[in-house]
Amino acid sequence: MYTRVSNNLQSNYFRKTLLNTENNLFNLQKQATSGKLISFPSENPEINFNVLKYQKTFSHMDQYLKNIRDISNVMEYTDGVIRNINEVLQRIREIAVQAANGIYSEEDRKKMAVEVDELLKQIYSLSNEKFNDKYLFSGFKVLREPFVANIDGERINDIYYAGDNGEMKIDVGHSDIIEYNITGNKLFYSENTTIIPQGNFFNFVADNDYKIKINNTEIKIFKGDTIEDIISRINKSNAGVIANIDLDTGEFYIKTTFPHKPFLEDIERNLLQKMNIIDPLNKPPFNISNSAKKYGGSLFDQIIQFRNALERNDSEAISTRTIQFLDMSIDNLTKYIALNGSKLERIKMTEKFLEFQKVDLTEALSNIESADITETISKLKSFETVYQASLQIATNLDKLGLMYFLR
Amino acid sequence: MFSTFMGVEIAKRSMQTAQSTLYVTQNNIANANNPDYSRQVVNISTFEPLYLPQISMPTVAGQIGQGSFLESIERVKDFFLENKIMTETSFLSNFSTIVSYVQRIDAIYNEPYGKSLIEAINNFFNAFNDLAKDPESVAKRALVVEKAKYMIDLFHDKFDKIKGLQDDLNFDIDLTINKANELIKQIALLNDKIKKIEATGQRANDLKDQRDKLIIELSNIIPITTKDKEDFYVYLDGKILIQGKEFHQIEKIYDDKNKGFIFPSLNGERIFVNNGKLSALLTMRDKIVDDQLKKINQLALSLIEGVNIIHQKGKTLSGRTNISFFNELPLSLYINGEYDSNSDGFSDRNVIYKIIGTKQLNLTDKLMISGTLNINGKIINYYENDTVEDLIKKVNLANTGINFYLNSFGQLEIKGNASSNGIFSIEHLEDSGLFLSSFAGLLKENAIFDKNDLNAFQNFYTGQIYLISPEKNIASWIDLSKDIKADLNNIAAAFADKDLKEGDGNIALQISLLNKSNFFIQNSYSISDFYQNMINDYASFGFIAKQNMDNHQLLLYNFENLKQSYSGVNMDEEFSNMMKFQKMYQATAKFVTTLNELYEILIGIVR
Repeated sequence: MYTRVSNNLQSNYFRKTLLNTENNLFNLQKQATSGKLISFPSENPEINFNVLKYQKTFSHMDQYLKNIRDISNVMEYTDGVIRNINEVLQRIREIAVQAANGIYSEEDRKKMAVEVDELLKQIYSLSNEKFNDKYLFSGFKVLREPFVANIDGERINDIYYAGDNGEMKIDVGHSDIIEYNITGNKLFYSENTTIIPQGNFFNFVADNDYKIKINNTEIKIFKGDTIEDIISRINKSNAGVIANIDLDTGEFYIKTTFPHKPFLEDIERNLLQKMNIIDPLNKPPFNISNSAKKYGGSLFDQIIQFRNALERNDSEAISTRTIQFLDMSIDNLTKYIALNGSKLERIKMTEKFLEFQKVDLTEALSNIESADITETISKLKSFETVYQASLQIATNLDKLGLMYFLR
Repeated sequence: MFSTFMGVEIAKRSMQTAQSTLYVTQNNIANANNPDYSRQVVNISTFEPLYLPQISMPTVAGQIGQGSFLESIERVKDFFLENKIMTETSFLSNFSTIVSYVQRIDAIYNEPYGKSLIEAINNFFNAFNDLAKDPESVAKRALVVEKAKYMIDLFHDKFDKIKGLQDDLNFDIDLTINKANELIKQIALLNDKIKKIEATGQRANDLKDQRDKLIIELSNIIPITTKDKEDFYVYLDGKILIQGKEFHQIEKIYDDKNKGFIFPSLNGERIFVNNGKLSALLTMRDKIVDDQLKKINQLALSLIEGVNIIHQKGKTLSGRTNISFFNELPLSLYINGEYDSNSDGFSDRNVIYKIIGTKQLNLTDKLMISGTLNINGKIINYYENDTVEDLIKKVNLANTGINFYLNSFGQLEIKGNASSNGIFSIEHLEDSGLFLSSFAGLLKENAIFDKNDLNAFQNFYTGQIYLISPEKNIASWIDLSKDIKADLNNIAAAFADKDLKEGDGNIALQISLLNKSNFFIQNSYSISDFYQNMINDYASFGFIAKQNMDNHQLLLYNFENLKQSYSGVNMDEEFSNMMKFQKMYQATAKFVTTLNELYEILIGIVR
């Protein structure tokens, strides 16, 4: 309450009221046109903080979605290629079953050999399939053919793996990193590989600290480790191989735990070389020492052997063993179809989840940052009325005062 | 006996009184809309009546009144309100200055809906994530470089603008001090005038109004208090600023150590103001804006460091390793980190940013030793039962400006944050026990590391590694390394391996995952958390200032209204006064006519 009303008091009061109303009007107009409660951080740091948090989450989610779309394309394509190879392999198996039958003549078997050769070429070409100009099965060596054939005229004599065991990884969620390629040294190998280096390892002791690498896993061997220690270090490393020693003969061997061609490498000093396992002149997987005994081959090796046996009309070789090998290959392919498929299914589910989550989060963000348009407009209207009333009163007030009556 | 013409004398005085009163009323009306004007009222007194007791005093009935006269013209002013208004003015201008500068920071960052720095950083890391999928692709490499360049541009741009704002603030401080000094001078001048006028017994009403106006203007800048005794005093921070016509000017000290910025001082002594525009400007320049600079530098430094450490482990398409992605600029070119901080041509301190211990530790290891750490002057005790993790937490919570953490090899790393001079460095390390020495392998036993000790490197544990601080203002020079600029193939996306593996994107993936790491900055924040906090810091400060501003605006408004209610001019009042004195004048005039008639009669008798 003011005990005395002066002219300046009146004008101050009206100026303040008008300014306040104008300020409110302006803020509401801003909200109504942008649809957002704030346009600068300092207007409301709490809202801004939340908006930034959501924006970060969206940015990450968008990248995950992009990654899922990118790799699911590759994985779907890979799936198709493996299924094709599987079909061709089924056809070869049918031929093998037929050929094992004694009623077929040498002539028939030669014809079968021609068909098998064609099918071999088909698998070979499928194994060198590309997606987006990158070879599917060559690991990290995406620009080089994973399988190289020794060709004599039209005839394939030998096919070997020239890729590596690189695992392509990408994140599809927070701390969810997925490996999305299949390397040729796994897909096209259906037998376990066994390597038996030359020599008696009974009294072998590591004379220094070493570091070796088996299939991307580095294993440390310490000075003074006996052969048992070395074996236990390899077996505990989960590198996809197990090692063992025959206590009678002193024969040491490394065997894969699932069908693939292993990559063995010396990282620090040369333990594997000393154990006669690898030959340092070559790069993995071609570095297995010539003196070591090797067992296990690729799907191509089996088909070539089968074709050669048909050509030679060697019914001994075209036995149940061939069919057994082919079944193992088919099993192996089916395993990777399932593995690839289940990963694909999982990321598709992640994709769906992310998309749902995005909708939910968008709504949540909107609750935080968006102005309620109905409320804003009705507030705007009421402030407009107040503004007009204030102006009206201000003009009317001017006509009051003693001055108007003293004439 | 009364004089014949005594009545005329009374009438003359009355008419004079009425006339001057009308003039005062007219002056009031003329200043009705002047907010600094205090309405003036006249004090009318009765003139000394006849007769005074003296020898010639006639013996008649008395005393007889001699009419009225204008004793004084007073302004109507409430000094209690005036003081309140002064204080509130200081508050208001403090907060409104903060708000206006915070709005300028708002405009720099472009949050939350514009093209912002954090968006560019996210895009940069996403480009690396895309490269991880197609590391052989030149297009993806080009995209990484493009996004990195855009991010770098934004770093430079934001840094320049924030630095520019800091310089503007410094300039504004300069101007504000000048203005305050001008006001101080004017007030002292008015004091002199007022004193001279009032010595004659008159009231210097209008000049006092003017002085009040200047006092309020000065209150805008600095929080002053006044005392009006025999002299008019103005105090600042308990010190006399103005006494009568004597005054002190606020001096400017140029702090050479601190970017050559200006600090206010009085009589050679630095003054600390806590209110008013000057205080707001100093707070913004030295705390809020400076903090933003430190943080944006920290952000740039963490990016350079984090990306480079991983990138150097990778192998480029051309088969090279140990390539930096971002440029690195050390502050000191000497291997021991000697640095000339005052540019006198001689090294006077060392600049060591990071020390890496030699021992391999586990977070759960019990210390089994006790002692006291002195880190940058802060004391931290550790005991036998503490684990390594406990101690690291203790140090990091103590706000020493230094971070402790274990790196991926389990070695203790000690890293300095930016200090007030903008250098990221470790200033002081001391341990009464054996933790830093034989336990973690950083310092020699009982050795002290200090930034001012040029031979400090000799105190390091044997075989231990230290890094020289980066050049100041990192966000202003962050750039791609020469190698990356020269050739896109120099981006290392693959792990360093004997073989060339163009499809290996693991290094690119690891770099992109930095964006999600929760320990990226100072080992306790992710990039986005750090950025959000950085924005939130100044925005909250501005928000609170805005609320305070509204508060004090309302208070000031109320006090102003009270002042206007008390001291302001009311037209109706003035008009009624005018009527009153007009009638008085008219009545007196009538009296003179009556007297005149009396004289006519008197002269007629004589005739």
